Amino acid sequence: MEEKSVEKVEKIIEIEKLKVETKDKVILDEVDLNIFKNSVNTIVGPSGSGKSTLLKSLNRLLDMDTSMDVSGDVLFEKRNIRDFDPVELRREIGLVFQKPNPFPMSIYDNVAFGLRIQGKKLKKEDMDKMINQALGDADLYEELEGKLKQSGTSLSGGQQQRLCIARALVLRPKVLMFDEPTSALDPIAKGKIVDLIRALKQKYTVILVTHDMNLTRRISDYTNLIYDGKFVAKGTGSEFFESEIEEVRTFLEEAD
Amino acid sequence: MKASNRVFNFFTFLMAIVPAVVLISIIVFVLYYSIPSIRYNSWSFFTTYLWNPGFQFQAPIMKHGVLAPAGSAFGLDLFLIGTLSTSALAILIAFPVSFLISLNVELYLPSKIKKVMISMIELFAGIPSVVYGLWGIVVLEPLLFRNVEPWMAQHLTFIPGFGGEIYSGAGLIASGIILSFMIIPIVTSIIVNSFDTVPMDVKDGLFSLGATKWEVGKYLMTSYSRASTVGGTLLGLGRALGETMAVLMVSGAVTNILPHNFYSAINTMAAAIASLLDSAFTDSTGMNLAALAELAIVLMLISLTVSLIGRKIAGRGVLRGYESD
Repeated sequence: MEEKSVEKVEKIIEIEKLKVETKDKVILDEVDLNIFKNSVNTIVGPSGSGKSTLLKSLNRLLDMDTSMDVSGDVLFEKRNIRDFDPVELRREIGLVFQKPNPFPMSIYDNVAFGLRIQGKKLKKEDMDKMINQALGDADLYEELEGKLKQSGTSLSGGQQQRLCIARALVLRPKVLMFDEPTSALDPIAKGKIVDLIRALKQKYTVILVTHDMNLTRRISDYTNLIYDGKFVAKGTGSEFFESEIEEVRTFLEEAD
Repeated sequence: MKASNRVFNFFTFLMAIVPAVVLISIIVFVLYYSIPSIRYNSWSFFTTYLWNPGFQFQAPIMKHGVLAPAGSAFGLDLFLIGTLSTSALAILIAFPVSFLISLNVELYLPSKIKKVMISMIELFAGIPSVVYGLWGIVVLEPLLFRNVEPWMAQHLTFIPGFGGEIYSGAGLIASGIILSFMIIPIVTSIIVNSFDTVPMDVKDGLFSLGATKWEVGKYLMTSYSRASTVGGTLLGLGRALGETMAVLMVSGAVTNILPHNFYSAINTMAAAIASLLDSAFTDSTGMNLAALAELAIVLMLISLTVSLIGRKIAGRGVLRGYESD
């Protein structure tokens, strides 16, 4: 299906012929994909289809893994990500993982971590302001007010995940990527993350990797199905679910 | 139960208690041998640095109910200073080097080379200490004596102890360097192991927040791997404290002269026991041997304590790594 209906929306990331392979396996096979600004861009697909690898190649976390060979281009705001300092790029494109991974330190320090390593000398009150703002954006401020000295690992799973979101938000990224953010959470915690992602797209561009089709139905603006390292279908929310493409029908049936 | 089974059970039990029996008997015998020295020297063993075997050809004297060569006196201070200072220098060198190697192995090297590096580091631990000692005498000492120490004595005089006369290259610096080579493999493999137990999620999380490799390493070392790093360093220290042969060869093995700068010849407790043992057997009163036994007891206490603490801390660190997963 073509992307006629989405051409007016601004693209923030353009992926062109991105290929990721190891010695004995092609993980992403020359994929093309556009990520649209202030939208929830969802990538769905069975496990092992290359979804997480795609996310890690966007913030160049894949550079860490020397067994992976990456070719093709990714443009972030029209500039090739290879021309970015990876450290700078990762601050622009935040990543939230499947399993909440707060650092073993206080809630405050968890959120402050990214700011501190930037080496900026922030005044205490500016720092506090940014941290409270990030906690607010992650819908945690009210729950945790006055408890910021508590350890980040003592929180519930859902709170930990929102803490990880706050930790990414404090760096004011332009894009926020979520790798299966709800799969390790209970339904209530999951609901909160869903609401949060919906709210976040006002300010940020969201890339969501999931195999949860319910979640996709509820919040996705653009849905892309990846199969064996290739995109087989792309479309806006309703277009995607009505698509007649065989892989989409099979995937939807299997998912339900 | 069949007779053969009973015999087998008995032998496995016997073998199982061998290590405990050996350890206890060693402690008992060394303690027993040191009794005359404990009585003869009393507290002066810990308060003086002079180690005088006495006159073998004069009539022995009787003091505190034990016989000793006339004029003999035994104090461990010189050896204790040597042991502590060489070990401290070794740790000072080994710790940052081990940290940098671990960081490099963990975050910079491709996984294939990483494996080769780790097995190479472990191989280093297997080099006999006498080989290190030989290398120390042939290569390190001349290098220190001709090139390094003259430069230090000229340019680093603002640091207390770095000015003054240079002797032969043998001494504290050479011993510290050799010892650091011997403990780097221990400290490094413990730090690398502890880095490996940090969940991948956490490392990726740090990188995704824009941390550099250096920042990630620094952070991991001060949080997840803190216990293992401290424990590993203590285990290394335990090894350094008791290391004998290599130090004996490069320390200058001095007695009765306190070091007065960093280039002075020194001696350690372990090296002193090895080097003075031969002549101690010529003492018919047995006091020289008893004094060395007392020295051995003190050395054993110090290094066992350090190793135990290290093991305990390192062990806890490893457990904590799993818990956080």
